Amino acid sequence: MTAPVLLAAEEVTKSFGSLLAVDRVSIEVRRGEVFGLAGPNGAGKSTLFNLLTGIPIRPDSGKVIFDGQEVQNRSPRWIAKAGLKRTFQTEAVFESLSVRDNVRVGSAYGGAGRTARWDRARCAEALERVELGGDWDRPADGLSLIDRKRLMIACALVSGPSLLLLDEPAAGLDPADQEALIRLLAGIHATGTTMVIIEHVLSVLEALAGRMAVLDSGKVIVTGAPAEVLTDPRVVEAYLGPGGGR
Amino acid sequence: MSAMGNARAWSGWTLYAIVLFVLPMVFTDPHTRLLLILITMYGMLAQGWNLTLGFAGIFNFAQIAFFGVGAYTTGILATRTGIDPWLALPISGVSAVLASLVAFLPVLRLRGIYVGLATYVFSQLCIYLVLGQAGLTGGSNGIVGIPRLTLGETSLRADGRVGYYYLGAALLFAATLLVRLITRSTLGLSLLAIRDNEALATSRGVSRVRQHLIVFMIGAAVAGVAGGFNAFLNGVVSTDVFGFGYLTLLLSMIFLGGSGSVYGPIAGAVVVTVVADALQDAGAWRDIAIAMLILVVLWVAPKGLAGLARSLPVPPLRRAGAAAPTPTTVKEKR
Repeated sequence: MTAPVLLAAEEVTKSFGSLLAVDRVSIEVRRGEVFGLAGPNGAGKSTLFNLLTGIPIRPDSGKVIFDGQEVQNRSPRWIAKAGLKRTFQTEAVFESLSVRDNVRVGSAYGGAGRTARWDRARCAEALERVELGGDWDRPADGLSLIDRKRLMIACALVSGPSLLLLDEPAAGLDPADQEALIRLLAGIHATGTTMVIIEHVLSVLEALAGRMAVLDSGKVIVTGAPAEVLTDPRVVEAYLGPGGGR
Repeated sequence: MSAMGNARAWSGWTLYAIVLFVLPMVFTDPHTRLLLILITMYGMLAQGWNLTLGFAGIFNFAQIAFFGVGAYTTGILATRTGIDPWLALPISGVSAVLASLVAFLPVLRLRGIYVGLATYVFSQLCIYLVLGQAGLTGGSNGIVGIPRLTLGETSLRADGRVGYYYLGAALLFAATLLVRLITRSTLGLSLLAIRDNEALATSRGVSRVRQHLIVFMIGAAVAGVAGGFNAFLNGVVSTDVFGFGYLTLLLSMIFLGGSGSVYGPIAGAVVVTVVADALQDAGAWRDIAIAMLILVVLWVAPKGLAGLARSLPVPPLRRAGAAAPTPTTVKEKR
């Protein structure tokens, strides 16, 4: 039986002046799956993430439906509290805060409640889940690249999101760290968290995604299983140009 | 917080209270007493401003306007109504909060230096409002004859204004405690998160507008009460309270002491007030000397006196406190 749809983008469009960044994109993410998004630079992947989460832009037209509710006109805070959390392409952490306080922000404000309360045990659990060891009171700005990525994921995970959007989590990592990241994300997925992953490192998508879509010039050009999508001539052409596969 | 951290915090606050209590007994001459009173008032004002400017990172130049609104509220209430003068102080805080709701409007949509420009314009508009309502505010003549505060039959001016000192010291202590509680709360945590990375904070469920509005109002309340205190202390209020002089003086205190630090602005208030007084006969050279002092301190210690203090060797007990899971920033722990 097919799992119910958790997130759907319906004909979502966004332009910046004369540039059509996202052109009538429609995707469906089913509850419990890992959905991959790939495409060359400038294809509109991160813009699509921004449109899905309302940070910092909204679609010109189209709908974003999350857990049965239209969210394209909701505030980013509302969307976050509804359970849709994201990470960013750059390894964004709150640099003046400690590791623990970074996660406390997610714990205190990320939940569905109106009052900001943090849960000490859940913070520790989130940090342990991403295998971020060491002194949690150390400054976040001194973390290594992989640890900054772990912290960013822990901060998103701590409030128990139903959907996690990861923007290029493997960018800049060496192969060993990429392997560690794949294991980490597979572990998170195994606990039932639905994920959408934007990634240039296609081996990550091959390892994790059940389905994926490829964007080019703001449009979805192929959707399907990674093994089929990555050998599709249209995808090869999008990455390498006309005749690039020969 | 750990037991040792708690003990250290309590002993620190107790020491702070004792120092504030004992100071007028050590310094008994009227001039030094006046300086101490000014330090408490400037310290309180700097604390309130530090919340928005230092912790929240909002270029808020309306703080002086809130100070002025508080001063005029007290002046009007104390001279035009039969209200108990003591009630004028909290009402001044409330009126400044109401003014902050208007001053906050540009913060809804603007960022960075544009907020600074818009809030500075708000301060200037306050001057025109005061001048335009001369029947109520005294216009360019200001409000004179504001009655002195009394406690029973005793004037707070008695014994070298010792009453005003203790009132100012109590307000400064309360403002410092308030700022400390905020920085340790989830509100303080969210302010630092927004200051560091607004998009990331928003994606974690933090509302920039809501959190900034809250801290804007709290900062305004502190400034309003400080303005009321200033009106009672001087017995007059004029449009000088909205002026560039106060603005630069307060900014000097915050940056010299260390913005984004709980105790830095108090240190800044002490240094700038004492230096300004020592150089009062130097004319224009006084401002130049203060400016040079600030430049030198910021050159040596970009995070001000508080940053300089944090760079000193940390005793083991403090480390034990720093390990506690509080929202205290790493900066504070260093």
